[in-house]
Amino acid sequence: MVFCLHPTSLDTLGLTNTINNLCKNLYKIHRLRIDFKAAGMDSLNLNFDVKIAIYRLVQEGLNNIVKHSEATQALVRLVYSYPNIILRIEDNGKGFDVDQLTKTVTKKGCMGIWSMKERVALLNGEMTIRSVEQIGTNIHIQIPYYEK
Amino acid sequence: MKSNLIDKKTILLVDDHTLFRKGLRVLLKESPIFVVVGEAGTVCEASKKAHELKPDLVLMDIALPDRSGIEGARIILSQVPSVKVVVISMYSKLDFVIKALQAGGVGYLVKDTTPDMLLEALTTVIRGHYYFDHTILDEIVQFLLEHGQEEKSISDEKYERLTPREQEIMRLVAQGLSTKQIASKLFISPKTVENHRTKIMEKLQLDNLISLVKYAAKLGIIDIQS
Repeated sequence: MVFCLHPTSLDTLGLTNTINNLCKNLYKIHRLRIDFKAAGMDSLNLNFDVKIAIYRLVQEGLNNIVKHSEATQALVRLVYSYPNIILRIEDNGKGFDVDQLTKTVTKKGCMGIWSMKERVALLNGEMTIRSVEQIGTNIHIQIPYYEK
Repeated sequence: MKSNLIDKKTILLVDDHTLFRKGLRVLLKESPIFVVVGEAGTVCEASKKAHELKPDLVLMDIALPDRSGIEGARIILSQVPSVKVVVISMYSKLDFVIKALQAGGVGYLVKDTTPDMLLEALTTVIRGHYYFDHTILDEIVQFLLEHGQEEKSISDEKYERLTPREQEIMRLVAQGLSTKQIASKLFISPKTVENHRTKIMEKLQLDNLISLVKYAAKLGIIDIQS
């Protein structure tokens, strides 16, 4: 997915509208139905670095679903619950063995998950992955964020 | 003194730059329609003055030292619902315009606007219409063309009414913590926690704990599976 290297709409439309557009595009291209909802984000004055990092996390999370999960539906929730931004990305796909993936992540590629972890770490956040085979995967990200 | 102002529409100016506020005051001094009744440099100050003065109009900057003017607009409108809020900003960005509208604002101006356009904007909103700076109209039209067919809002409006403290307490309540546990965790009294809980339930229009937990799960604040 090389398109959208710099989503300029982050500047003009804002983060939640840009993510919504991404979800709509993924439905158009891959027929992945994504239920996206945001709450508490509108009153935040996020700087561009945080906006782009969150956008990339959603983009990478959804790209992984499209590429590997065989899911038909996904869910994205982006909520500000002081003092954290909470991001959830879930799917109803085939799932995977999280422990196995964690071991191979640096050896065999799996760049999507790896770069998500890196991005979250740079924001001093935490990321947990829960996956059940044939049920789906749930990624939970929590990023500390305080308004000035 | 009130008789001199009786026919004039009252304005509260909110901007952290004193010189900008003074400039607006001088400009509006000549107006037969408007009169500046107060000034504020922060959202906190603006909220107090709006409550006290009940102005017809608030001219609000976005970049304020304590909170954003968008949030300020939301706070002031919850206190004085009849007030017309016009946002005046350095930025002609569409997401600011959208946020200003979502917060209840009725006008958006860019700071390099002309004095005539400012007066036109104030007159337009006081007559009950919306006003947008001409420099952003093209972008607004484009946005409407692209997004006009959208069927549902992606943001939860009720949740936007919660303060950061209320968001935090809501999450802890939904996670199953008792009033006493929350009080001890946040170093506040159980009575304060109870007051927050009451306000949260009112703002979210919920009437019991189960509905609060369901609501928090639906928004993704808590995960009921874990």
